[in-house]
Amino acid sequence: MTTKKSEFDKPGIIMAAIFILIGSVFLYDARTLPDPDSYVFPMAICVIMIALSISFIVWSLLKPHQDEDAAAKPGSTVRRIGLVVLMLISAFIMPYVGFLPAGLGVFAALMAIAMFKPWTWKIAVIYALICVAIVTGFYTLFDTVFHVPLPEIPF
Amino acid sequence: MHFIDLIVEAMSTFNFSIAFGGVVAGTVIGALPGLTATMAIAVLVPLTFSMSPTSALILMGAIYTGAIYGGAYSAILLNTPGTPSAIATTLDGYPMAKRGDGDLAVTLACISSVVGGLVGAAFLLSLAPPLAKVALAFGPVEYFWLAIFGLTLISALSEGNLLKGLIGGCFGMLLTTIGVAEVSADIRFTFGSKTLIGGIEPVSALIGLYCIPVLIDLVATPARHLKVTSGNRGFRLPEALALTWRHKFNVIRSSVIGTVVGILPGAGGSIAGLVAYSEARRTSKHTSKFGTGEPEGVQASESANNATVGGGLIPTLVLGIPGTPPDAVILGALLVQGVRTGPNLFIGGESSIIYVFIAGLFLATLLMLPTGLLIGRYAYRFIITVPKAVLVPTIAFMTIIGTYAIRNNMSDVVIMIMLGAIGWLLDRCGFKPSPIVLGLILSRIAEQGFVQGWTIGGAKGNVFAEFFARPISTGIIIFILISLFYPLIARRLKLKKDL
Repeated sequence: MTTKKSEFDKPGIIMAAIFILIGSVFLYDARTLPDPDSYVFPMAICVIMIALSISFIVWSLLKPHQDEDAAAKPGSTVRRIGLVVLMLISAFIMPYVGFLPAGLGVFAALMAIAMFKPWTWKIAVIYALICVAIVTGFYTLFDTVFHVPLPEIPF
Repeated sequence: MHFIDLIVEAMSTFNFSIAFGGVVAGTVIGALPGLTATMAIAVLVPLTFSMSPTSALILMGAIYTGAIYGGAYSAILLNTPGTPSAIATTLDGYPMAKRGDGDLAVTLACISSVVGGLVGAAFLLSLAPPLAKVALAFGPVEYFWLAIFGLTLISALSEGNLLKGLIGGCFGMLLTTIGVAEVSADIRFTFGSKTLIGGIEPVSALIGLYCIPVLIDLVATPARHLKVTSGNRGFRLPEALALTWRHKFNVIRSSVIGTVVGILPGAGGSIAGLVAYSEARRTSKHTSKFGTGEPEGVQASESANNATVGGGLIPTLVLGIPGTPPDAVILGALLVQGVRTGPNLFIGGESSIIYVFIAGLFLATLLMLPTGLLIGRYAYRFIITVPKAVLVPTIAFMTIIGTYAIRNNMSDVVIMIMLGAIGWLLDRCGFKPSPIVLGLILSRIAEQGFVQGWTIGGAKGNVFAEFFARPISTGIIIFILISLFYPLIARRLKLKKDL
């Protein structure tokens, strides 16, 4: 059984509505700024963005069409979300546990979610060595060569 | 001193070695997302303090040249500009890599960068003092219109979806207004968040918008990152040279655009690449293929951004006004060396230092060909052969450490990841990342020019004349109109012809 697809560009319309909301919030907040130099430009941008978003919604409703560029992408949603969540967790914990431990942890975890073949002992050992080599290599490069003050291990 | 003698001096064993080392170091640093040409030079500047002024300048010029070119690798192979200068390179470089032509794209980028670098150096050698005056003729309003000219590229990038492209461009511009205001220094649109006070750093934002969506899709399926073609095709040098010869006017025009934009203080390689890309697209016979892996796009962007090296050095050396951020670091190093910049630098007693440096810049640019091709080949092989379980965490880790290194700020990393996730979602709704990035990059220049122009015009009592009646502004406005309406006019003319 096949379902009939809607002709409207629903994702585009929803996103345009969100842009109207964002523009309105910025416009409202701009009223609190004391100096015209601070609010003239962003207010102009907000007004243009809201006008364009309204035009897009009206145009999409009057001339229904599908956006071919916005096709659904195949693949695992869990892995997608996992990647973003892991990266965010690493960014949040780095100042508290240090760059090196957090880096090793997130690298190993990302290796696990990007792995599509079955794990064997040999692969696990090789990948663990690669993980340590890359993370410590980058840490050394940025810490000792570029003198970037990376978060230290606090203990 | 004859120029041949200066070349001989520039090619001394020591100078040759440091030029070679500088190009390699710059290329590697430039290839890492988040590490810019400015940082590459700044990090290595202390090495130059014990050298003669000539050798120091050659090393800095070589690092600069290499770093600008290095940004093309990650732009082509990972869809992440290594430096902001390579933004326009992603537009056609990554689609080329996806269809299996990444090796050709890297070689094309190398050749175009060499040509652009040579053209920029030639302008620096021959026309530095008169060209420096051009930079002085540009006021805030001209910068505003130049930024708008860059924004017209949105119409080119959003064919069939112009409204979505324009909305994305506005969203990018709005993001840049978060934090401390450009002119008045008011804190705005932070909504009480301390994380947002520092604003959204454009380089970390572009890493997020370009790289994180690629990672999100990469991790979701077992399919390969780039298409792999069978057989060893080498550098594909003859094919790349033939393409360069076929599009020689595009490469030369883009190099000249890069030089001129490089001369304008604060404009930089990203604007040069975008303007050259826009012009290449407008004048090409394959306009519709731009954005889908058209070699001319890569050639335009790469020749223009490397031409800004020589162009940016013109106001730096002649006027003491840095053309680009890396030039500011070079200027500082020159002052430490006791070299006084100014028009007399080219005719006074210290002129031999400058001419040996320019000869060294030619040498470093030429050295980029073998080193760039070799590094590019290995980078391409690494990307296509490395297992996904290693590639994904490596790129993710590079984005985290690279973004952190920009301002030593973990908030930038959080913003980068969040923007990446938002960018992926927007892409699924048909809002492409390129217009957003264009807005992000050009907004600061546009706002500064707009507010200053408005203030000056207000003080003179004629804002309209300030924005529309200055000769250079009028010239840029004409280019903007041509850029916006040329595709429409060309289509109408073609339809008339077909009828």
